[in-house]
Amino acid sequence: MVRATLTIGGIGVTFTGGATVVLAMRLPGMALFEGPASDGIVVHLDETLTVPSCSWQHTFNLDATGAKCRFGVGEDGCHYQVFGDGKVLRYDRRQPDRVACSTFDDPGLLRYVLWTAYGMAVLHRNAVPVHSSVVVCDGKAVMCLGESGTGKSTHTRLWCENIDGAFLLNDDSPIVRVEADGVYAYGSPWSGKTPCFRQERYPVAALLRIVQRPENTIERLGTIEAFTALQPSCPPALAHDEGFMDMTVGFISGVIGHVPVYRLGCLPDAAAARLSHSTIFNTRQ
Amino acid sequence: MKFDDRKKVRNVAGENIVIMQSANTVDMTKVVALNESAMLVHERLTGKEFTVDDVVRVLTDEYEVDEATARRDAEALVASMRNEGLIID
Repeated sequence: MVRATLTIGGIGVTFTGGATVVLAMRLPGMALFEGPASDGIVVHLDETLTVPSCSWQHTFNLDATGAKCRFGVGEDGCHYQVFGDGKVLRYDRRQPDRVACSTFDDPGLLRYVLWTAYGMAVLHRNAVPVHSSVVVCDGKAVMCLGESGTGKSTHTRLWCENIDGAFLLNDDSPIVRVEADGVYAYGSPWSGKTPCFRQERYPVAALLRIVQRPENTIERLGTIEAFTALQPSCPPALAHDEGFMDMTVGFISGVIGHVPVYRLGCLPDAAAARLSHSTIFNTRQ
Repeated sequence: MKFDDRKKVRNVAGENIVIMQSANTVDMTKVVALNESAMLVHERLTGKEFTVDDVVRVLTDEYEVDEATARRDAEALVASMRNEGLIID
């Protein structure tokens, strides 16, 4: 049995299995998160895992690969997510720290499946990989949320180019945790097209829901709008099961109870970055 | 009529909401927020078959409101909850 230990989002992660563990550790950035063995979650890569008989609750096409995914609950009470041609991920709520998945040869799919497995396993620890681009400024993280193609990465790049001391923490999926003393964003091995893998964490100063507009405007959102801004950025596998949704709602309540959420209507220009920066850090003239 | 028990009311940072699951995975979430009287009616009548008269009774029991006003509010409340799919036949 091959074993690799990592620390992702401050949580110990152990991959166990065969050659797929080696492949997993060769994914971009993954080795930078190697850490000592510790209590935490286990993702077991098991080539013998098969698709059971399930009541399928949801079917969707995976953006990254176009593979068809199904999500459902099996007769054994476990949750199953099936990717394309019968590759499967199994989550057992009675053992939430241990997730099993099929073995994968395709690195892109493996990356996505590990992200999904991690997201399921850490949810009960009030941690979620949130689809976002995150910039750090003055020791605090600002998270840009939005649909694919709305300009999250563009906006964080504009911060890096125009705001003194700003740098990118992660460009696709930082780990966000609600902790005793606040909300934190951690770098992760999942950073989209931008290889930005930082084993660091910062308190979250604000969330920005990015919307393209012909002029730059910013407004702080109330609780309900803040919820609808953040919820779609949580992993899709968590949206189709009551138990996952309960935990996700608890997590979102923790985040939006502590951190302001803004809607930023913006152009892809430096003025947009200055507007959001001055609003969040309260330096607006 | 009755409340659809698949539409679960959840508390998010002090607000009572129902998350309406869309059929696809576009990055949109629709939620319905329940105000105080909607929440009261939901709490009292969930899990039961009820009529507009029952809703009127919940409102007149809880609030100092005359029957006619309560009936108007109850009808509007039922219509909007039915419209959002919270109430089914």
